[in-house]
Amino acid sequence: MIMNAAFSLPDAIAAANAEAHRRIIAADPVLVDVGIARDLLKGFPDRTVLHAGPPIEWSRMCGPMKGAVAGAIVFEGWAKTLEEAEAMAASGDILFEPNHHYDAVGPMTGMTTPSMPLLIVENKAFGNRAYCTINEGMGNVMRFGGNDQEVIDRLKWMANIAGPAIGAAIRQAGGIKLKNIISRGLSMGDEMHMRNAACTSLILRELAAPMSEVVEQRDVLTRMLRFMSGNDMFFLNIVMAMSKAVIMPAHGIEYSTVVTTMARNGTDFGIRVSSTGDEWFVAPAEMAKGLLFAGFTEADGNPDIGDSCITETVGLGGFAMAASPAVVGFVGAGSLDDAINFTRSMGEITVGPNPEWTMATMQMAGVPTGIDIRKVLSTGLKPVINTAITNKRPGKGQIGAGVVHAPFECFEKALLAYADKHGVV
Amino acid sequence: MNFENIQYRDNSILVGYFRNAYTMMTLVTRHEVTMSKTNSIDALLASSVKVVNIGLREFAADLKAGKTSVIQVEWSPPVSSNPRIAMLLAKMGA
Repeated sequence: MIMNAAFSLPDAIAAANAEAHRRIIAADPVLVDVGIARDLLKGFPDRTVLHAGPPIEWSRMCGPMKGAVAGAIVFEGWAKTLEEAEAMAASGDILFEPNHHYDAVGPMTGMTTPSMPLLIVENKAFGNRAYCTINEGMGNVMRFGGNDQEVIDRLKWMANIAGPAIGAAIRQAGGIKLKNIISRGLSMGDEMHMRNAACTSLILRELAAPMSEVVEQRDVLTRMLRFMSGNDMFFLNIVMAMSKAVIMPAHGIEYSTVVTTMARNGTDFGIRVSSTGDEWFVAPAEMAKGLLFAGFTEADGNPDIGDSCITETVGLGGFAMAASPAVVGFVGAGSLDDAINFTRSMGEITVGPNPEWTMATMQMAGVPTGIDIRKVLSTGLKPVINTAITNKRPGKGQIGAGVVHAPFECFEKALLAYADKHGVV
Repeated sequence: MNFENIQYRDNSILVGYFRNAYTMMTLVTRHEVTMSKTNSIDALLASSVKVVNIGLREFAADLKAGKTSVIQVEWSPPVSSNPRIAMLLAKMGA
C-alpha cells in the first residue's frame, strides 16, 4: 500500500529487487546429506505424490506425468498394479501437490513420494534447505514417465542402497560446497541445465574417495561409482536443489518483482514472484524447439515439463548459454554467437550479473541473475530455458533437446496480481 | 500511440520505430499530405527540416550528427495487448 506522497513505487521496487539480487549472490549452498522424503519434508501428508510444475489435477496431467504417477504409487506399495494405481489416482485417493510447496524440486515429471531419497542442499548464509531426488540416469526412467519393473527396481535400489551411500559419502566429506563447483563448471563448458558433464566429473572427484571409505562392499562401491560416472546428468538434480536453496531467501521481499519460481508440469507453465506470496501465475506450457533424435518428429514431443528451470531463475541454463558452446548445438540454438546473444538478451530482463559465476566467452561477465517481471513485459523478451524434450508417450524417454520460453501470459498475470496487492491503479 | 494528439509544426517529420518488430513506422506529417499533393520532396528538403524521432535513439543520433534538428521522444510500443499492463509498467518504473 502506498503510504504517503513521498513514497516512490519505482524506488521501492528498485530497492527490493536489489535486495533480492544481493541475497541470491550472497547464498552459500552446500550439499550436506541425503535423507528420506517423509522425514525431510515438513507436513508431507500420507499418500501424497509431489510433481513438477504448478498444481494440476489427475485429469489434466500429460501422458508422461500420468505414467510416472502410476509408477510412483506402485513403488510406494499403495497399489499392486499400474492399472490399480491409475484407478486410485483418478478416484481422488491420492493427493497431488507441487514439489515447490515443500521446498523441493524434481526434473521432468518430478515425482517425489515419501520413501524416495532426497539430496539436501543447505544455504549456509541464510539457513534454509532445499531438496531434490537423485538422478536415475537416462532412458527408461520415472522422470520421463517410465513405470515398469526396471524403473521400480532401480528406485528401490536408490532408496535402499544408493541414497544412503551417497548421503554417507557427503557426510564423510564434511559437506560439499557448491558455489565453487558451479563457477568451475561454467569455465569448463557447463550451463548446468542441459550440460552437466563437467560438474558431474567435479562432484565425482569430491565423492569418490569418501564413498570408498564408507561403502565396505566392493560390488556396491563399483556399482555406485558406475551409477554416478555413467550419467552426465547426475549433477542436474544437485544443481536443481542448489538453485532452489539459493533463490528461496529472495522470496517474500515486499515490493520485489523478481521471479522466484519457474516450473512446468507438462500441461501448464507457472511462475511465482517474490512479493506476491505463494500464488502461481499459470499459462499453457509451450513446445520446445530444438534438435530431435533420429526417428522422432515434433508430433512425438510433450509440452515443456519439469522443475529444472529453477536453474534459470539463478542465472544458469539458458541464461548462461554463452558459457557452454557445446550445448548450443545440442539444443539446436545455432552458433556460439547465438549463445552469447541469448545470454546478452537475458541481461535485459534481469536485475544484474552474478560476479561469482562468470563466463569466459563474455569477457568474464557474470551470469544474468534475478528475472524482473517488469523487464520481461516491457521488452517482450521471454526467459530462455534449455530443456530436454520428452516423448509424450510414458516411459519412452528423451527424444531431443531444445530451447523453450516462459509464456508471456504468466508475467502479465503476475503483474496484475502485483498491482492489486500493492494498490497500483 | 495516438498521432492525432501530436501537434506538428511546419516542416516537421515524425519518425517512429518499433523497437521489437524493427519496422519503421509510416511518416505521418502534414508534409506527407503536402508532398502527396505536389509529388515533390524538393520543397521540403529546400527548407530547414525538423524531426521528431519517436523510439530508437540511434535515429536521432544520426540526424543530430548530420546537423538536422531533432527532438527525441522516448517511446516503445507496448508489448502486451492489454493497455492496463502498459499503464502499470509506467507506474512501476519500467
